Amino acid sequence: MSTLQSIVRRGTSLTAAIALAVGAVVPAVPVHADALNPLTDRSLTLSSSAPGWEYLDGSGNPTYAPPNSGANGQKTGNYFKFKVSSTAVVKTMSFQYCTTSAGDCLAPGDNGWNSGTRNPDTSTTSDLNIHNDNAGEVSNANFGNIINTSTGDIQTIPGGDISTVNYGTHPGNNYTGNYIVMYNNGGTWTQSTGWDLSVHNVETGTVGAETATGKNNYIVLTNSSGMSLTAGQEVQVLFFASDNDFYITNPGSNEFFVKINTYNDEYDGGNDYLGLSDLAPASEDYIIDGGVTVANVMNHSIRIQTKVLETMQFSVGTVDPNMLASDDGDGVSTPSTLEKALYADTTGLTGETKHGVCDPILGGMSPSDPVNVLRMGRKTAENSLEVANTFATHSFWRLSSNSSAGATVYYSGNTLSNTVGDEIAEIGSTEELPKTGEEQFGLALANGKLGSAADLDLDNDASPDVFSHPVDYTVEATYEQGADDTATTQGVDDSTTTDNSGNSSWHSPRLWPLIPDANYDEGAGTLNGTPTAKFAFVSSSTLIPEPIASENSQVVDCVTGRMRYIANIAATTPAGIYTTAINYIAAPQY
Amino acid sequence: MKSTMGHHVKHHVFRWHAFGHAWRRIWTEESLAILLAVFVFAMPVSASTRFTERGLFMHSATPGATTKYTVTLTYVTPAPVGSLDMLFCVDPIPHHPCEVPPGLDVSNATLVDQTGETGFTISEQTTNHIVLSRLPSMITSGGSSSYTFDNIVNPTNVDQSFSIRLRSHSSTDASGPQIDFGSVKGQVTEGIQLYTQVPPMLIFCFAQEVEVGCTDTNDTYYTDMGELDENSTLVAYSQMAVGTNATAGFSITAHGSPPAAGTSIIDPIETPSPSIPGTNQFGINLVANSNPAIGNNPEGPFANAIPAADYGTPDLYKFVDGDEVAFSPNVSLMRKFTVSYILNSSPDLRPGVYSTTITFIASGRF
Repeated sequence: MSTLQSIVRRGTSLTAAIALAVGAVVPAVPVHADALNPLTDRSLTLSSSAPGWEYLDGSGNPTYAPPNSGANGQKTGNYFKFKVSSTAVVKTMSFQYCTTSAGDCLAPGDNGWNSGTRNPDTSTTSDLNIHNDNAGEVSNANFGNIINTSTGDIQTIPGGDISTVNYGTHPGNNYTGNYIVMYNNGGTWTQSTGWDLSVHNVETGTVGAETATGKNNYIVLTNSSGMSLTAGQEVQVLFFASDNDFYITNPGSNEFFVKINTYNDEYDGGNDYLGLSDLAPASEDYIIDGGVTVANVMNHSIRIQTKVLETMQFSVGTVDPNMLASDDGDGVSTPSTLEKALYADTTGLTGETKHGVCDPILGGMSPSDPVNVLRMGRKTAENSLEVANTFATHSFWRLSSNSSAGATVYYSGNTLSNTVGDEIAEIGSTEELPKTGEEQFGLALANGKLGSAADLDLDNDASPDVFSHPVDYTVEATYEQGADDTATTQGVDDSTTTDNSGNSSWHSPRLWPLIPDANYDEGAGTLNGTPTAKFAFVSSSTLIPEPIASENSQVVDCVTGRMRYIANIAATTPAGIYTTAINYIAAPQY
Repeated sequence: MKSTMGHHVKHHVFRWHAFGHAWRRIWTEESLAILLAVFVFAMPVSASTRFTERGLFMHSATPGATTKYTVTLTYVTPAPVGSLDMLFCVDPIPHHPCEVPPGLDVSNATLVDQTGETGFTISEQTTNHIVLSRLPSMITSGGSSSYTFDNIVNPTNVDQSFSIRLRSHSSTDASGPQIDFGSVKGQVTEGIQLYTQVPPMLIFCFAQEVEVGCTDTNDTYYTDMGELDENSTLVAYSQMAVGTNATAGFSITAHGSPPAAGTSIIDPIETPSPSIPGTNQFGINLVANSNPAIGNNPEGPFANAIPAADYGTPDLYKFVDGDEVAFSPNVSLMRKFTVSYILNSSPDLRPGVYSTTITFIASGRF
């Protein structure tokens, strides 16, 4: 039998092109195939074809380039797939990385030498090097999680000791292990367990003679029980990279070849069984199949860089345009309510103004309305408060920001006061029910209470995951007024949904992902009779703004807060015109 | 020769020692360590990265208001930082021309607080630009840093957000290559104006007897005080209750004329005086008396409602038309007053039926 060793001796200077050609035609040549007992249908897939000196993401950071990711050529995994030609029990497999497909083996790399010393890796050069600190076999218990046993495809990468933050390609699991040997067992991929891994330097030359890199270029897998295979059976050997336990550093440039051999005996360094000299060059005494190479070419990663700029749109007002109809006017002589609210001058408008997916909150129903002015009290009595009833009004704010660390929304303002300094007592920082006959001024979000049942299906699995804190547009008759009293509906107008149909960015007004503060989350509900809504307010917010809703882990996708205000007076509350200005502050964190 | 050689060597050793000693005074081990650290860690500077955890907290979002800004950020690149450049523009793109947010003015800003990476002072500022400087030193805090400025005038355009373009430099004047960069955004908004009113309220009731809260009266408004006698004092009483939410309280005045029968008049007491039988006297007060035993002190929870001074002393009576007899300086709810009436006559008082009508008026001082 003509082994790889003999081929090597005969062809010392095969070019890469020839090698590729050989690799391609050998299986098709029956004579050679019989002679070589070739591994067929072989392939090598690299987790990254980036040079070994390249290990950063598009931003030049390691964040999105963890081990095993496409951007990381320094810590790669290699996935081998082949079919065996012989029916035998395989107890050892070797994988030798060389610059040529046959003949003398020089490990791949472009570091070069300096007076008989191999240069270290630099920012533009690297040698192939197999790093093994504590490589372990993936346990059979996790095999089904990592491998699709029907297709043999990798479903997830073992997390191992990868410490990179949990973004993008990071496995984000606790599956340990760095390699898997498996075979196709009648359509079901089955793990062969019990394999031990060791890495070595096996090159023909020496570093001193500048004919070797001295780097680890040889992997040995051995198993005392072995893996019983029949001719034509598919095998996969997968090596996964981790931060420290195991990884393969790609060479800095050019193609390389991996010589794969299988053996019929186990390897133990030559103590009782096979040693390296029995494996490489492959000994005719022990080899089953092999002598075949595969090649890959190093490419720079394609770095695509763009910028997403910081954005923020924060609007505070008294009318949510989503409540307004876009089709209640002819657009020219009789502008729609929406048009009137949006534009100070509707002259020249030629059509209906349509709703957008995140229209800013408006300052009033029409340009002639005073901006952001709300009145509270009995309408028929010049907006007077009464000792026996709780009165309310409401406003809105809407925030959209691509701040990846969320945002916090604060309010700032004093309680209601008259011109001579009399004040309606603040409720305080702890939420309370409305109490008639007692002075109270408070506010709260009418966006649903914390702890309510989930209603938002984030992962589209037909099972709600979080509570969306939807805007509650309910108005309490008689006792609550707002600038939007004349809106066609106290809720989202149908035309809003129609105008935005088909736009995936549209969603019903909600507060999520912002989460309301526990003392400001119960503004929805009844105010009089048997009140259920609760409110709080601190006048010290004038100097130290009070947070009412926040979130710190994701972007703020068009969130809407409906603020409800209440006031109660005692019989002794000094008469007068009471006013206040409540400001809202949004602080995104990018 | 050996000795000479040894001396020569020693001399050189001494010179090297002296030379080294002199330089050690300048380049201490610590200095060299810092220099080495600077050399090692300064290398990544060229790969500028974004500050993380960037935020802007405006203490007031009112357009045009003078307020505080707190800028937070986390330095990422381990490099010596000598300056932090803050440029206030409409958009956050570093290389775009900077359009100054209308109305914004940071030229009078003062740095009032700093945490994390500290030691900065404002070294340069214009309407929309602040440069913080310090002696260049390696980033050490590892966590978030914050810088709070006072006396910043907010932009005035509520329709668009504005940005602060941030850059750190190793130089002290924000020159040279940047280390970390990034932007934060803020937006001014119109506040919500709330208007309401508390209606004026005055509760007042009057009769011979009333409840404190004016919930009931005995509907009696006439009293026959009996026959005048030079040796005794005729007495009567009435009650009134009052409450108001007037900021400056209420005032009750008494109006009427002294009892008269035709042209004969029983003189009113014009200064607070005791009851003296045998003299013509008509007077009132609003407290409990012992001479004669009549009247009650004011009742009810609001002690700020009191009789006027001339009508609030036991056993002293007075009546002057239009006098204020009770008042409160501020909101009072409720208070009941008992008005005591005395009538004395001299022996020569002309016979007749003496009568009068006394009216009380309560006014709220809103």
